[in-house]
Amino acid sequence: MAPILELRGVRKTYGDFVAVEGLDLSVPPGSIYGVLGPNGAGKSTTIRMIMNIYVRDAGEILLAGRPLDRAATDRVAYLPEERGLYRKMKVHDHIVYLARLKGMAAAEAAAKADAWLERFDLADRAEAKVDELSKGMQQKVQFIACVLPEPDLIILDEPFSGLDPINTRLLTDIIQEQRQAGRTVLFSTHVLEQAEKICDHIVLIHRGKKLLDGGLDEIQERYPVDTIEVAGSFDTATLESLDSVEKVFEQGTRWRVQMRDGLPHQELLRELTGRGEVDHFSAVRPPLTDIFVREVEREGLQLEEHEMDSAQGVSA
Amino acid sequence: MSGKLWIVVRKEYLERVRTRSFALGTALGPVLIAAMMFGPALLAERTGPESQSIVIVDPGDGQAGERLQSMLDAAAQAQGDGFPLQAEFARVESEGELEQLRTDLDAEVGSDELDGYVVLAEDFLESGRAVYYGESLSGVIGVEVLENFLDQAVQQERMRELGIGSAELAEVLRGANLEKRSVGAEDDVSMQSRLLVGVAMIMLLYFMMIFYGQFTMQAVIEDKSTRVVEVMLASVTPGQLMMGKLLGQGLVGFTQFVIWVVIGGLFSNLGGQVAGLDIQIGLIGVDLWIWFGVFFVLGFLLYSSLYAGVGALCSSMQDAQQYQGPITMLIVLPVLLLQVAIQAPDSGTSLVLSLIPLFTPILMFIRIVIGDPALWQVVLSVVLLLLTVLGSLQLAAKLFRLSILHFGKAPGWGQIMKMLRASD
Repeated sequence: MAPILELRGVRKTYGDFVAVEGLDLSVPPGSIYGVLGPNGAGKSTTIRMIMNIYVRDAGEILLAGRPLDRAATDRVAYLPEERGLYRKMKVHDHIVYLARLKGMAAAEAAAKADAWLERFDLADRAEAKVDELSKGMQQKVQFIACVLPEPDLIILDEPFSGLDPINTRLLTDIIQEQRQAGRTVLFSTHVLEQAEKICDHIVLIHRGKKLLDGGLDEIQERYPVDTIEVAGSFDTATLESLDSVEKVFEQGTRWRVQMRDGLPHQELLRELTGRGEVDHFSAVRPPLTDIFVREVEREGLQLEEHEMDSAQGVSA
Repeated sequence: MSGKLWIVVRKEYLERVRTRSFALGTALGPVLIAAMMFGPALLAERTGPESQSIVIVDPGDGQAGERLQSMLDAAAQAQGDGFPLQAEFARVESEGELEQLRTDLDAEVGSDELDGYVVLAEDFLESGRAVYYGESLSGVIGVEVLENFLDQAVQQERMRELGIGSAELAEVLRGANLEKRSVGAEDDVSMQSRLLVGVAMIMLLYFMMIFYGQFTMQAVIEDKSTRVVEVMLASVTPGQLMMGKLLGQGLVGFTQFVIWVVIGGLFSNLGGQVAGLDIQIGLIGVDLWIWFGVFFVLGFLLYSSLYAGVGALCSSMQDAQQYQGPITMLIVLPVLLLQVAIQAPDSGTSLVLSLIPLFTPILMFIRIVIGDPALWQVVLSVVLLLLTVLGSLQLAAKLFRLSILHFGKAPGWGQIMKMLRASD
């Protein structure tokens, strides 16, 4: 199918700093498309260029095969990274206002606003002013304003930041519903684990350049089952000291171990025996965070400490 | 999509009209207008009947005192309540008695029971000499009136000596009668009220331009300070957003203006009567109202777009302080120049000043009110103003577009020029 959104050789610089370099994207219609990368990778800059807020220095951006013009913006919804609403406006009025600006009739927008507020547990705040709401509630209001006009393409910049687990779950459900309704959702996040759960397709950006691009399954299948999840009565230092171990990542009460090149899994199990109880041992494909680290290293790039943390969702 | 523009205008209008500050401002406006209309009249009323109480001391034979008394009594009777002098007479027979009385009177003046006293010379009717003792020696109406009567008393005495009777005297003193008529249709009374109403209209225009210009600026800054601007730009163009705010605020101002004019119209007759002036809004020709409407709308758009441009450059109200000064000065300037245009409305200087678009709304309007500018002058000024408005609207939209995502620090003047050049 022809892509709903296409970027060709898009470039953006701020003075000497290159924020985005020669970026090609092709977003399949009806997909959940994740734009991933650590903080400062160029995700928001890319999204703002798509939304015509930043002017690109070079390249082409096409929506359904045509340059993005004003008429086309009605079919695209946008949740910016910098959230903002009119503080003195009433919640319900505000949602209807933004929906009308997307071309929806007032009565239809009002009815849909009621339903969405109900769903987000905000029905009793419909007549409250925006600044009487908590930050999280304001974010939900802004998300409602985004999806209510039923656009073809929904662009969300870091939609999960600042949400509690319950609302993260609700948002995830709604994003999946939107895909089922035939819409395309493009979102950015620096929390790769989040993307892993819902994306069909991902693009991984690092320092303005694309590292990886493809279907999530397809990307993961490129990597061998070389990662072992273990749990037991030993510590990180012990694991790291083993001959068969290349790298160890802590993951809650478990560890994720990357085996030294080509060594069989049993080698790790053999070395662990006698050093403590093994409660869990399973071989898996590397998660996105590990893939990201490997790709960065394969490109011969150094990964800064904060980029690493950010990719693993530590800062989130 | 002009439909979107009107959705923005509607929102900006309703949000502002529903605020408490709008209700308060609209309610207080007429109070201020009424204060301006009734205030001077009431003040005049209050100061009128407050008369000076003085004592006239006659150390002579009492003739001068008696004559003054009868003259003052007659005048007070003729004029009624408004007579500014309440005089008592005191005769003293000796130097010692005079000294004693003066000590007493000084004490009374000191305790404000008395405004002052006059001691006539013994030979007052011949020499005309008299001394006034009082706490305040300047701006006292009563003393001037008293001086008048003293003059009359000595003059009468001299005439009597020359053998001129009072009937002959009246004939001698009968003055000329200068009748004042203006050239043209209006009589002088309506000319006076034209000027008064004209100046009142200009004050209204001036305040509306300042207040609503700043409201527009606030509305533009709000989008940036709340960061809602990115969401808005996903639906509307920067030009639509800017124009929507400008027109929305403008309609709010117009609404308030209409409310005030209606209230002002109802009260102005009453106010005019109190002030003893013949001010009736109905007396002002329809043409004046039409010109006022034209200059109101254009002046409003001009200054609102300038303020909006300032708003576009700033991300907070604090930033705006340093930029709005020059704009406010541009509005104050024509008000300062108003005097020039009032004194010589049809002079070359007035013509040149009124053709400067930034001054046109105020100066051309006052020229139409009291002068007689040629039609081509008025049309030229309106065309120039219209072109300036269009230019300044475009400039504001451009600044808005360029600086819209420069959150944080306001740009310096150098940066502004660079941005403008870069966008060409």
